[in-house]
Amino acid sequence: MKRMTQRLVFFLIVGVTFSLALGGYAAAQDKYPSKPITYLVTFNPGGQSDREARRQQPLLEKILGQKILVDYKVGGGGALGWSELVRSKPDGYLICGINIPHIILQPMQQETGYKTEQIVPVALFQRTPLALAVLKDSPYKNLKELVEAAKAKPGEISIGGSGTFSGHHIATLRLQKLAGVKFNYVPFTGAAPQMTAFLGGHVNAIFGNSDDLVKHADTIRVLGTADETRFFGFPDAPTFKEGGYDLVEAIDRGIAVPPNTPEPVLKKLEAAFLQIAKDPEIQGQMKKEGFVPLAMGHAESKAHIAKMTEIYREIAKDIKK
Amino acid sequence: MVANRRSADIASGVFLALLGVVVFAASTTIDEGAGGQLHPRTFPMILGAMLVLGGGALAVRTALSRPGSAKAVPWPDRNGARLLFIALAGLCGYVLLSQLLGFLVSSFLFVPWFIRTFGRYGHFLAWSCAVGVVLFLYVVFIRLLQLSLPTGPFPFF
Amino acid sequence: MDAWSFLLDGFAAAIRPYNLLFALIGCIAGTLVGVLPGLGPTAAIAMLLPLTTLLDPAPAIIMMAAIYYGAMYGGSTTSILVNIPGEASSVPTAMEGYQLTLQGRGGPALGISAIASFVAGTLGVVGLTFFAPTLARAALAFGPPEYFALTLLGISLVISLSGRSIGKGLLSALLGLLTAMIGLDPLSGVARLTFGSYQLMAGIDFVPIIMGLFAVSEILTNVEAKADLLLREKKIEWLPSWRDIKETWGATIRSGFLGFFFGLIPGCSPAVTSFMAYDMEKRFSKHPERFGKGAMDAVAAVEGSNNATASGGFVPLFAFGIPSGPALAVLLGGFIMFGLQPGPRLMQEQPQLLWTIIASMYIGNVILLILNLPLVGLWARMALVPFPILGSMITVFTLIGAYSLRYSFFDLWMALLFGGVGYLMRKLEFPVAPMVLAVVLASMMETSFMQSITMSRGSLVIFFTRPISAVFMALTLLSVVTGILLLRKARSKNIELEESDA
Repeated sequence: MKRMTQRLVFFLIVGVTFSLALGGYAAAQDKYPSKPITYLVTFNPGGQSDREARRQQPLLEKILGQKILVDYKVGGGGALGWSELVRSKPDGYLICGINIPHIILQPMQQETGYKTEQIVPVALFQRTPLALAVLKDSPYKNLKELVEAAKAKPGEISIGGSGTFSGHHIATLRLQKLAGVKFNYVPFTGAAPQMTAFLGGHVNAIFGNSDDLVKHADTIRVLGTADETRFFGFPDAPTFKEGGYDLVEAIDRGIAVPPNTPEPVLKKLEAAFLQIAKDPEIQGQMKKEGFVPLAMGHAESKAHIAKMTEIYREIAKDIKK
Repeated sequence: MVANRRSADIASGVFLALLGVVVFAASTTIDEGAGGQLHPRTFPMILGAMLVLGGGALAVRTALSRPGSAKAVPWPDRNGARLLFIALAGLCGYVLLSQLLGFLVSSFLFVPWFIRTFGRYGHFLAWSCAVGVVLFLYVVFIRLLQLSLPTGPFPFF
Repeated sequence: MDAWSFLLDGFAAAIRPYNLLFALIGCIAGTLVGVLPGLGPTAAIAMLLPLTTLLDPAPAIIMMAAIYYGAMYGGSTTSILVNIPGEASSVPTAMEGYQLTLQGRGGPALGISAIASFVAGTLGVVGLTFFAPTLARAALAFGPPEYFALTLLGISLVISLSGRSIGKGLLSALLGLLTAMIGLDPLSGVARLTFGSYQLMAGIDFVPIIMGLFAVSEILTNVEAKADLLLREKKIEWLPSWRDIKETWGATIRSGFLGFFFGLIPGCSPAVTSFMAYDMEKRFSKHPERFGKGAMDAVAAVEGSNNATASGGFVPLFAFGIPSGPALAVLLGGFIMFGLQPGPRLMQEQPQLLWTIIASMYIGNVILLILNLPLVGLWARMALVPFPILGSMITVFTLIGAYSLRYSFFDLWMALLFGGVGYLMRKLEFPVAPMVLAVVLASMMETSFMQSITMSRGSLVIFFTRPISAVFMALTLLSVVTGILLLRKARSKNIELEESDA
């Protein structure tokens, strides 16, 4: 009898401790975030991804009630940072900016240290549609003329872009396929050298990011925007769809966490980022800089990435023959 | 073995040529990029080949020259080599320690170690230098420049 | 539309105490990060970027710009005093300046470098003030073939940097080019020579390479020699004499022009122009035999040119919003964070702001001169600190500097590795400077070549049919031929000297 009581007391104590611990654990989860969060940027300070992080930083601190530390892991076109992301502890204290199509195309091209599926998107908040542009004094007044010219002299019209197997390159390849022509794609090492060469007339046309093109709106003519709708920065420029080419290419920016991050943490971050993304003031600032504001949550972003992965897989097959 | 300039030049020429072979071989495995006129392996391959030729030329030319009075390579004496080895080990230790304990703690240990190992100075001077360096690191690097240096298990720094 | 009246307005604004204060803060911060090896203006501007949101655009951008050109002043200090260049642009300074320090003339060298920085930097700002709109077109004239021709001209400098042994210099340059190939191909993104390492995929940055080749190997050499005092000379001068200034005057002005014009070309960093200025001065100098043994005019030329390049880089930034290098890219980010978009529109919509910034650069250069000249005596005394103490501190600061670039311990291991490489190169008499030059130029050289070939669809003729490119090709040829002739001459002269010494 005595032993029985002893046992009972023992189990009681164990049970209480356990449930307390569990409760404590749950409380700790509820309390997320309870320490500063590191926001990893995989591109250089001052670049688009960094500026977005800096814009969100004070608002995130206000919503989450914790300090947000912006940190950089630059290299390999972002791959270095993303391979660190998927290897980090999934506790929500390391979040990392992501770019589409980079996170889809890089693992497709070679072993990069992460897989697209390993990256868990929290939200997508910014789109940079690509657009095909020529200089104001260029002989090509519209898309049709450019395509006709390319038909007449295949491979002689040069289109500049940033990198190969990148959004710009793929947009060029898709246009080639859709229009049945051949361009001469000249890759550059980034947006700055690309724009320099374009403004200097060293390439005939470029596929540029909307924000870069907006900067030079006075000296260029946009022939086509690779988005579903017309881009507000160039309301007179038709979309490729209007011209009969089903070509949509953009660079989407968002935020991600490591695989296996607990659901509550994910939800909390998602809510915070969506609240910022839907803020009209933030959206206004983005538009002024030439970006299209987005507000896609976790599920929507994941579906978007999956959809784009399928599209790029088909294109990659074509490239690698 | 490589006591004088002549043998040193032959050795380094051979080494560079071998390095060139390694580079050339490694270049052949570089993937093809998407599009473009030239394969991404073009430059590394050419450079590897040039290194083979250049290194080989250095080795062969030196070997064919008259062995006359070649200058000695200023290798360290025994004690110098010992100090060199200690310094290298110390540097590696410092980097390792920084990874584990953060830069402030590791620098606090490294500075006096270096001063006392390579000079004949008292404890007082060595440790005051350590305090000075750490204070400077803290004020300038962490406070003023806001660098996020690793702090190891001491997050209060 | 009169530049003078705009400039006067700009000065009126720039001289307001508030703006002046931030110019001063920027100058001090710039000098500081310039002096600290490894830390550069890019990191400093990036660090201060979030703080600037608390300020108005004018003082914030004045401060960030001051950090950029201020860092060029500080960069020479450690190169001259302890043979440790903090960034690639001070490598030629170290070659001459350290020799001067060993001769007890470290103080004058520091003084001359501050004066040359001031004169050439101001010259650059004058160019920015009056010729920016006209010269801005020049920045755009450079397409891929021109860049390739420019890098070839740069590589041809290896001949004059190699000292006596061209062969070893070329091998050293080859090693540098190869080092720069490691990582992802800048255009295709394909991994090259990474041997399966993800760390190597990001490439080896040139800051850890320079830290290793110079700082770490310098420390190893001194340790093994049981060095105590770096300065063996008894007679020490603290400040430059009028004679020094008079002798280096021409070099300063020439390098100011050279630096400014090359600074107009986006992507042509101060590191490239400082090597070019060094080479040019070697040709112009009345006593080329002093080069490599402590030539004061080389110090003036190198330091002058990198400051003028810094000023020149603002031309494409203001005219088109095109950043010349990483530091100016961050500065551009600063503009955009204020909702300002540098380019022709900003020039028309907010001329006041731009002219305030330009005016502040004149003031900033004066501040830097006043700040740096009195410091010269103080810095120069650094050479009196016994090596064990100085060495320990240099190690700490350089390694943290190398770390702070990418927050990566991998970079520190690379610095140590290249420390070993640098040590061996010293012992085996391989010149180090060509390797640094090659690392700096490699990526631009390869990508511009690939782009040119794509543009011409496989034909090499493109380099000779475009006028600017053809001129640079001709200059390259000239540089190679005259370089070899000069070397021959110097060799025979040296033999004479050695004989007469004996």
